Amino acid sequence: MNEEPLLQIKNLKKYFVVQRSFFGRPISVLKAVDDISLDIYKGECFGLVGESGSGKSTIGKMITNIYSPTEGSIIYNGKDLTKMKKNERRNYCKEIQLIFQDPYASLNPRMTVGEIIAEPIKINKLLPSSKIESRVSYLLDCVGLAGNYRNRYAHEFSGGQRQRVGIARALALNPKIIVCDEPVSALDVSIQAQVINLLSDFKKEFGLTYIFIAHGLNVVKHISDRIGVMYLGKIMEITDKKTLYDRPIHPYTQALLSSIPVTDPTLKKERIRLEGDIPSPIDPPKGCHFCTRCFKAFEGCSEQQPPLAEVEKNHFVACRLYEK
Amino acid sequence: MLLEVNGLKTEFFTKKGTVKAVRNISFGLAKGEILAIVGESGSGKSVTSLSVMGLIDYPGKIVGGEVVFKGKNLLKATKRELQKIRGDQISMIFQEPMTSLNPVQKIRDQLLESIKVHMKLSKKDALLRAIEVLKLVEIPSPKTRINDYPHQMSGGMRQRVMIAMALSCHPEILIADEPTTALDVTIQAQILDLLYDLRKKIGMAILLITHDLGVVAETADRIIVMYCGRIVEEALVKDLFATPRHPYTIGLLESIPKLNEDRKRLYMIKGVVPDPFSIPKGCSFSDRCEHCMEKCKHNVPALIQSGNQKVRCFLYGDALEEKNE
Amino acid sequence: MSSNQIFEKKLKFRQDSRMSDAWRALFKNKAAALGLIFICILCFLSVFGKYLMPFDPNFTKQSLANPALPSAEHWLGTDQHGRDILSRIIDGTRISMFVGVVSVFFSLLIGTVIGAIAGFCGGRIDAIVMRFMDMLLAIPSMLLAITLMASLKPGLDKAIISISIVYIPHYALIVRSSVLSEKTNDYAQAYKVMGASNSYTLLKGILPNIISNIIVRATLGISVAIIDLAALGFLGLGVKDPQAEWGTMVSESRRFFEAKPHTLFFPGAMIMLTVLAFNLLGDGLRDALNPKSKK
Repeated sequence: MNEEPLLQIKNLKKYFVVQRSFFGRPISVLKAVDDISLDIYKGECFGLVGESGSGKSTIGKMITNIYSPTEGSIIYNGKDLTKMKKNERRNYCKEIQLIFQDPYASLNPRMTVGEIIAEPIKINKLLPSSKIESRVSYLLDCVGLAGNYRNRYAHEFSGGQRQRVGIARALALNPKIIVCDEPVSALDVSIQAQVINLLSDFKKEFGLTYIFIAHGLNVVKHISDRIGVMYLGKIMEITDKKTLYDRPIHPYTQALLSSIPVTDPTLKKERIRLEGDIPSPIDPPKGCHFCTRCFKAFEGCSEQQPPLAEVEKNHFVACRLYEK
Repeated sequence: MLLEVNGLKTEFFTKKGTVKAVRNISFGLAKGEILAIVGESGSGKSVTSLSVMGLIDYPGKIVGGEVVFKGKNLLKATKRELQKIRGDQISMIFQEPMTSLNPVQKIRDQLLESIKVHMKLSKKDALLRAIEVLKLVEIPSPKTRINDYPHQMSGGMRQRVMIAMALSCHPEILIADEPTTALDVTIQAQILDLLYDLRKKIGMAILLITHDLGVVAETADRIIVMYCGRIVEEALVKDLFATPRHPYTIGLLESIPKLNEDRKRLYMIKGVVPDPFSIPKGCSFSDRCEHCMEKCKHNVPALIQSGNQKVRCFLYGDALEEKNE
Repeated sequence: MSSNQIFEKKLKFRQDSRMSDAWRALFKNKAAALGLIFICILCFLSVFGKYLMPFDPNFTKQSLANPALPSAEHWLGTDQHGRDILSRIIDGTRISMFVGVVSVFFSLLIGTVIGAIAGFCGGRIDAIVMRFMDMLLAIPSMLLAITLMASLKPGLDKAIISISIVYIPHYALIVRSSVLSEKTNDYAQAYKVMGASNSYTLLKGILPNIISNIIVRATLGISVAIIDLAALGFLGLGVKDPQAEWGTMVSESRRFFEAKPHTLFFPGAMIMLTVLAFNLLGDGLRDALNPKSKK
């Protein structure tokens, strides 16, 4: 992977002010994403894994223009999206699309499915209005909703079908990158497989690049090429999926992998049991954010934040155990 | 058997028509056993647990069958008796602990309330018992945490408090309805370990309702797979995961991405879970099944023994379900 | 029926979709239907009333018996000037309905614009606008209306203006809170992902989703505006005599309502029934338009 990355995230930060003083000065700040750098290459699927409060969704929302970053830059095709004016930034929306987690909340309840899919095309004036009809039919066909579906409202569909509508809407703009924000976690097990297969098909068919955000590690592993593990706004480990699952080296990754319930009772493995709760992102531990729950923590861990370092080729870890 | 459910039928009478949510279900729960009921949305797994607890409200109604707990049919019990049994001997925990805890009351008061009502202890003894159960569910420094309000606790802690409340009166059965679905993976592991340990420690039976087969594989002893209100397969956990029989069970297991293997495409069960008003006439799974035969479309197979497990499928025998639904 | 036919039928049923669903729900609610019927009658009276009045509402018939009790000639009696009460009530309907609808229209329009912008933009704009609205709200509404009327001099147009101003903050608050809750929904965020402008998101995305809320509020608001107009009239600040207006009629009957209670009763009952009708309709609309209260 020596080519130029398609999307480059540099020192990205997003702070939410939770409480302000009377004069408007922030008193407590939630550091949802705290100084993160990532490279996404063309045609790959990059998985982002983490538990609640890890900031994985926030990254997705910054890339797709829902949030504007507090600091740092998002460089797409050599252009910094964060330095653009609002109007200019909007033109890049069609290149990077998002599939939402909740298929129930993400579709406008007052619109028919046809209108929902046509909307992004109209907003971006991609096609003359005479051609929109056929484009919508084509997209519905792609996601397996051919037939008399277009005049129905979203609430008449099941969760899996709505998620297909969400996918069709994302595809409508011919994007280069699609951020999938937990696209299957709200769906039934038998439907999850259908949606995941659909997504993998589109990746090949339309030459897409995915950023796949999830908390379910097995789903991420199935679809991703490289995976980043996040914890409390920081990246703990990034590597290709095979290395990550065979030889995880960050203690958090190891614990996370061992806590996934496996559908094979004969494989009763020794579980690494993490003590305690995930600390609040408003008041994360000093030093390494994971140090309060880490089973390998030693003295220096709670003092200094370990940087993300490349311990072997394409294997980055933020842990003092591996500092040279 | 500690708890026996025979021919349970629960229906919902809505404006659009009658929904047969639970269709003639029978199972038993032995002392100290963890029995898992697995199914997708609309399978009737939650309605089953609510029926056992006698918590079905209008427009739902239990229209047939019996729920026998220690020789007593709970469906024929008076409200009084039922209330007594519900807190005392059968307890329940739910998916989202925040909605089942009173947000304006301290944990202490909520715990004491249930202990005082059911165990007839003095205030002092009740408090001691409350701290004891909080210790049992491994809440750190229970003496101070007992004065917290629910919103001061994390999701995992709240679920522990819910379990503590359920355990406070030494129940013999704990019904856990998706106890870990709202929690993070590492916290889920903690809660599952806790349930597993508690079973060993105080010997209660657990009825675990979940959609996650991984959770079942790691905790349960026996498993019931439900689809559209019927049991389609019943087996010991080790048998079911080694040799799943019903095409639906096989499909479910196949469609979950595995950590220890790589494959290009996931197996898919085609179609969607039918909506409750248009469930296929014969076998409920017939419209999505790869092995669907002509008779599957018209007749409902009986739940028959096949090896060590029970399965409801014509691939394993021709017996028909009696027509009493 | 084959499954295909059933599907076709379902589809047809669906096409007259949402709006007809709401109508059906509304008419099932008997109280709301009754309210709607009464309001229709009021509308009819305000338009065609002048052809139905038995007398000229301002025609004074000199008689010692004034105010006269109901009789075969004057069904509801006459007032102290000998004017036919039935005719004056019918004439007053036009004024009350007109003021109610127009003042709600103006306060709704301005309130929605203010509330929507404040809620959508948030931040400093929101803080400044809403504090101003809070200030307006802090003054008792009747007091505010009286002050405005006193400074504007009585008259129909002035009454509309003052009632409109008084209720702007109410609508602004409702619209703002609805916009705030819709704005965080995924579907509203999806507009940002699509690259839609803020005005597009607000007008095409969010507004259609809160419009039913606003309609309900407006219906209830008309009844409040009618009461306020009556109250202003009662205080002598509303519409000027000789123009018939329900509140003024009640006010004028004060002096002799012990002897001739009908002069107070009929216009008073009219105010009450009208307000009740709008409230019943508003409640009915809320239930009919809210998808959660279905089933």
